Amino acid sequence: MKTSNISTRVILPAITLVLGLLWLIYGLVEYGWWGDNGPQSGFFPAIVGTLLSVISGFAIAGNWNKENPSYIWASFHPLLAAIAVVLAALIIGFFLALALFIFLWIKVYEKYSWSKAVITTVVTIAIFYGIFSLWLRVPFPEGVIFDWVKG
Amino acid sequence: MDTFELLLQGFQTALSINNFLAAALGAVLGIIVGAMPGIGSLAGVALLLPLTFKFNPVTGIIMLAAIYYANMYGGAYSSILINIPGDGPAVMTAMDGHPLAKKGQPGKALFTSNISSFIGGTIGIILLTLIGPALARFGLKFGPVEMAALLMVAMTSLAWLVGGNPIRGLVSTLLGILLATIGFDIVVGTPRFHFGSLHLLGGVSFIPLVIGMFGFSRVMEMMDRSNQGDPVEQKLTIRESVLSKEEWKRILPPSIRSSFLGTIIGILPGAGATTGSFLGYIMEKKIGKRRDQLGEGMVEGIAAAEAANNGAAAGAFAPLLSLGIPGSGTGAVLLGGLLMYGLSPGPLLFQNEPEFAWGLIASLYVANIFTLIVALSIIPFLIRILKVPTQMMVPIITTVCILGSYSASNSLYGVVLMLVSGVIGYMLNKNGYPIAPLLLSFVLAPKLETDIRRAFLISDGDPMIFLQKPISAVLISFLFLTLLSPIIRSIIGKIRERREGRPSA
Repeated sequence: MKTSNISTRVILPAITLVLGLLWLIYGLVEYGWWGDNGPQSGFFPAIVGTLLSVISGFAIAGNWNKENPSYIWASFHPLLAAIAVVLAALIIGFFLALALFIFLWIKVYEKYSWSKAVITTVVTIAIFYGIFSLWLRVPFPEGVIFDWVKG
Repeated sequence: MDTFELLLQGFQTALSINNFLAAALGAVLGIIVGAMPGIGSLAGVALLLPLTFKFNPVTGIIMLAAIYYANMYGGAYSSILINIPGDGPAVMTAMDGHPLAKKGQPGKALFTSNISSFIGGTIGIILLTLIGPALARFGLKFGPVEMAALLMVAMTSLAWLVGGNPIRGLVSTLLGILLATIGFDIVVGTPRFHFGSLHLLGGVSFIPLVIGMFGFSRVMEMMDRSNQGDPVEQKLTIRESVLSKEEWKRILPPSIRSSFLGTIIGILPGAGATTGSFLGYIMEKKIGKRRDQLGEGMVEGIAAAEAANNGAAAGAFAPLLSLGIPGSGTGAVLLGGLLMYGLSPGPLLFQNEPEFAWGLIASLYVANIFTLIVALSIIPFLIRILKVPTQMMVPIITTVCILGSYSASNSLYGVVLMLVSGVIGYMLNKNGYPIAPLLLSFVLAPKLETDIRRAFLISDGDPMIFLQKPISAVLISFLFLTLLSPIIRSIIGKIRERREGRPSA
């Protein structure tokens, strides 16, 4: 399986350090530290931002020469698939997009048999449609195609 | 009214047909989801949280409590049968559970786990019944200064206890607080850190965040096929699972000892079931009759870990209900659920919402018994659940994550937030940052901010107020000791190294 080494052990605390600084600056400049009626909206975020920056600095120093974790690109495949499901849901509707996703994942990606793919898809979608759509009555998008057909 | 009468009233609430059925459904779903490899109690509660919205608050929370409880039972199954601890508390169960299953006795391992979970849960709930109201009365003495100090201790303790690196734990904790400040300032209503986004103006939604951090990040981890455990190829029958008289005698003492220890650990703010099970197992390793054989598949090891983690799970309800402070990540999800229902746990909960508080405690008794019955009766079917390959589970759990996060916000923003949280959770996990402290601090941050601002308003900006009140002074001293302990330890270590180094130099 394809793996890669990215120095996230340093990148991650560097991001939190920047976020901390952002919160500190915005807290002090934009929302205010102290006013006539005591601490202002920026008081607490500025404290948290300062602490996060300092601790992140320690984390960066502690991880400087440490071995990086290895990432498997396959880990990001469900993310790509989920993004595709969201986009497809806007066109063909939520449950149809999810059904296609489950079926294609099992049949094409994992290469299981037709019967396993069909049974898993039908059972899963039936259960979730029952719970979320019929029982909880969540108004899922039906997609532009269905909306167009309905007129 | 005394505790016993209030508890009886609680049973009336818990045993109403709706609440009883909700607890029963929660128990069944909780076990199944908890037993699925790689999910565990935290992700389980997070994934099932949207299902409780259908009910009124009391019923919804009773179901959630049953799910939480049953997840603790279910979490042990994948630990024992395929050596994948679903979450922290189940790690210690795998130490003896999986070796015993490998020896050809998976049923006995599961039976021991269920019975000792029941013992731990029962002792934990009895202690919760006795301690909860007293703790709430004590909590009434807490003003904003004391509460702010307690919240800081709770957050820091969890950061310290979960994962091996306190610095990373603190980064997670502070990141959680930082995320919670997005949206309207809860004290004066100023919009903050929304960067022009209407969605962010409403703050970071809790459910998509939880589902992403715990559910979707798990899916991403599942894709790493090298983490797929070591399945036990056995048929399970109830007859083969039942313990002999001799085995009962072996598991009872460690179960009872660990139940008490676990409950006390669970009550401590910031500790929780993982620490409980760890210490329960360590205690057995120190004082148990068969301590030398622990780790080779001893029922005592399973009993000690499981009784302690279920005791801790019940004990964790004491600070959650009476002080509003969850003891663990799962407790934080429960607290988030309570807040979403408009209930604010804290010292006044037992006074203002007695029906709810006692109904919930009574429902834990019901859920504990019900979960045991369900857990024992589904042992033969469990092997089928556990045989579902992770390849098949990836699209199914992804679907749950998408549907759950959408249904919580009724918009695709929820799904996007879930996916982003999932990637962040995955990256944090990969780099050794524990996620539970992030979630705990995210839930507690609004209360911490309110109390800190009030405390500074009272003192006119003087931080010494935290040392002037006795309760907060003790808590702040404890906080500093916790924060400084790694530095002190490292200094002592270096001094020792130098001393040992000198003679040879």
